[in-house]
Amino acid sequence: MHVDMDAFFAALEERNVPALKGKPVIVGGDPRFRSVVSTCSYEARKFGVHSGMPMAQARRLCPQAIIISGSLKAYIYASTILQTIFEKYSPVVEPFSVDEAFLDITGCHRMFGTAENLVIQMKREIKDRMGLTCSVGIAPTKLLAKMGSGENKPDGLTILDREDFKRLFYDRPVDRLWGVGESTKNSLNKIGIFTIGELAAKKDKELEAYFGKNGVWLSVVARGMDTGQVHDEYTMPEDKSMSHETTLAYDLTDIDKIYSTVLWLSDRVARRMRKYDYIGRTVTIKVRDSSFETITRDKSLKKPTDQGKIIYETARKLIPREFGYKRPVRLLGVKMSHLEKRIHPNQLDLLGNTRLDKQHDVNEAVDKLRDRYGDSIVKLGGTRL
Amino acid sequence: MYQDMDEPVEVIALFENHKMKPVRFRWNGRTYKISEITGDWKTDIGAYKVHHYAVVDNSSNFFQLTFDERQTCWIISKIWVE
Repeated sequence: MHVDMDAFFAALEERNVPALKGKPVIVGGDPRFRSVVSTCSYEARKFGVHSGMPMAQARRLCPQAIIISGSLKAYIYASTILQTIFEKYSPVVEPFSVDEAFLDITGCHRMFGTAENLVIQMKREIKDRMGLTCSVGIAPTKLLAKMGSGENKPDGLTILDREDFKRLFYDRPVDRLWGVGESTKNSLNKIGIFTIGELAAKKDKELEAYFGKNGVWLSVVARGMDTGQVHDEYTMPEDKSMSHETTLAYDLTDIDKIYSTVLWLSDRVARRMRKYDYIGRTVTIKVRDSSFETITRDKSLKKPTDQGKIIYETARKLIPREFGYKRPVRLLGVKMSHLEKRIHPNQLDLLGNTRLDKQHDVNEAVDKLRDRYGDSIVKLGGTRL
Repeated sequence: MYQDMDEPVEVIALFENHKMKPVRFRWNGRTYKISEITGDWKTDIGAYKVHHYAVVDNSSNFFQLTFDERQTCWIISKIWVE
């Protein structure tokens, strides 16, 4: 079962401020800077506004919209309450984002009579406790459940089997398929595949020849045959990579500011790796310029690390020289991959490298401070540019 | 739109079912009766919690009240103005 909260952030704002009900509400970054729409109410969607749209475009489409910066902490708090509600209805809950989750209800529905009763009861509890609505998809696979939850929004319930999936989705454009974005759609269109049904009709080998391993996956999902399991925190597969990226408030041409942002991103990635006891071997930098052209470069380290400084030093050298003055930068990202679990939390250099030892002590102290007082309590000097 | 505030306010709160509920507050010499708590959440500042309440008064005005455990004080943190 897939549960998707209806316009979550906007609904929370509407719940808090009843005067907003029935009005077009957009939640997103400060409209004075370059920002995007996080979510919007259904009234705003009628004007063509949607999540991920640049705020400037959203304002043009719906000038009467009420724009709210929102409070991420309040949304995360609401998300934790949601999680406790979900856990009453299934022992296996996989949070998919702050406002979505997969629940394995195999067998659970018997406690509630039918799966439909389970959903009705859960929806009622969410409404009573939080004043919010959600849309639910029930299906034999995660993919079908996810596709189903988007069918009858808001406050919908869709039960799908594979035959329903064929009937409902085969005529729809291929990018309606979960996981198929603009770029894959364009590639599929080039070889004459425009609908999900056309994709499902293609032979595996043909798709594999065009798209490699992804081709096989595309073929499987187009037939609604994915075998993905719902994972809770105990059965979740280990992370393969950790990354952070940011779309900048304005295009950067100053190389020092670009390096400063890379330092901040490296520090965030390193902190997350230390938090979950990972060390990583490959550093990847992602840079997008003002014309939306994106490049990625990577480099493998001799020894895996969780040190922000080492990640930063490697990442900054990977940025091609023309970025900055000649090519203004719109987006930056840093990724660590080839992760492995740190065997011992204080696993250090066998040769007794005291410099690393000291750095490790500093990181540990900073992490403790940030755990207690929040990330902004300690900032790296180089990120203050 | 929201207007950010940071003004101290006197609040009468009820403790019920292990929860704190603001019921009335005095601000700028006027007393407001809270008719509904439309939302509540908490944030952490170190070991302390900050309690946030989205409330509506009898005249459907919106306020966000915040109780800071560390300083044991209430403030009005936001109001909604048309």
